[in-house]
Amino acid sequence: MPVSYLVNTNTCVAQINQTSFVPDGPACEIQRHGEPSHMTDIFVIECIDEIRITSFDQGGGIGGSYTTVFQEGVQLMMMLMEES
Amino acid sequence: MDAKYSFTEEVCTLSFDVWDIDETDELVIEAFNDGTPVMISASSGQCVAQFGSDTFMPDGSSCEVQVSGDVSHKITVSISSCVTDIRIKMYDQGTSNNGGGSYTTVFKEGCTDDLDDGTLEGGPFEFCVSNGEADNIPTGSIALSGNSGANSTWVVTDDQGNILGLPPMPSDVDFDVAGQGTCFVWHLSFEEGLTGLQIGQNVSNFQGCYSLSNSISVFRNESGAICNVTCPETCSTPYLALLDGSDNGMADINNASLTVGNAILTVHRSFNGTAVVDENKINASQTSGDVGLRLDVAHAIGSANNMEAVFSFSEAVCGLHFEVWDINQTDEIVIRPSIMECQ
Repeated sequence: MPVSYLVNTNTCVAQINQTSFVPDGPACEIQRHGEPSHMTDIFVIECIDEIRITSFDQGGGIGGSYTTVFQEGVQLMMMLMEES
Repeated sequence: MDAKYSFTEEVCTLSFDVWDIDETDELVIEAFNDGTPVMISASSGQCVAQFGSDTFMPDGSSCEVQVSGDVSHKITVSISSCVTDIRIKMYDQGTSNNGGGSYTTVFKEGCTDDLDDGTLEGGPFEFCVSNGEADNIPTGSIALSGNSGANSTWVVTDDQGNILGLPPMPSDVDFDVAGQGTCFVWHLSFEEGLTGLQIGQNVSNFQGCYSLSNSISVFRNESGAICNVTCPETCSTPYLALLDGSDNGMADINNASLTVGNAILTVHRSFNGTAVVDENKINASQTSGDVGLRLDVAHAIGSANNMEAVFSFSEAVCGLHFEVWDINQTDEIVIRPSIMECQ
């Protein structure tokens, strides 16, 4: 069952519906690594046992990446799938 | 095969369906206004993969089967500009097992309303059914956007497109009583006079002006893992968050990486714990004193593939705090936490 969560997005991240996040405008559509303005903070109050993060490359093949940082103490099994 | 449909006069806001994209078909659908290309948009059934704006094929080997009137092998093409010609080119990509090929095009005659079925997001959903406990899609968990039209309804079908229900909302349906199988949830926009919109009819037999959205799957199981879930009596809370607002300070220790096609997932940090690759997955654990777990997910330049990373917790957690960094360039990141339905 889907579980809702609280979000705190920084200046270069736009939340476009309940679960989707994109760079906030052309000025933010640049490659950055480790810059806080391109980070969103998620807090899930309720009980969960899985998180799915889907990344859509809307640029048609320029590559892409993101980084997830979990707080300490979690034990995870991670799988990765490509989607057409 | 190359089929050209020329209209006797300019047609605007045209919508039509193309059925039976199956076996080894590849279809290219183009629209023109007096020779000038016109952009099309399309929504596809689950067994149709779209490449670019105009090319459609069965989505994987499991879909390369011969069907007739199966909604999962259908696309709905919408053209908001005015057109004079439609061209559909079919390439038989079969080599060793060339069994011929066919498709069916259904134009919706005389439709004047600006119909748009909209786009559904959410799911898929899975329930343990026939156990006497109601199984409803949670309210608000299917999002509808972009729809228009004078009339609309939700439609629930079986996996052959037979209409099982026309509920006011998807959350009104109790799937527990439906037995084992697969359902699809659709949204339909239509004009007055549509026929075939009745329980027991098939959505491929609609006659009139309508536009049917993409579908959301609902898997109904009477056994298996979904039916053997025990709710956690307690939900563990991770250790106190030590996130410091920056992922740069997390040194690479106990690296492990997993490559799938053009995508790669890398564990960059597990201070006192372990990160072990086990065939198609990585198992990572941490102990008290760790400072967090940093995971990078990336795909190569030149690859337009999308990626889905699944993070499964060894036990349910609540109050979880995590960060997603580097939302930049042309990324769209969709984050969906969930809890398995418990008995």
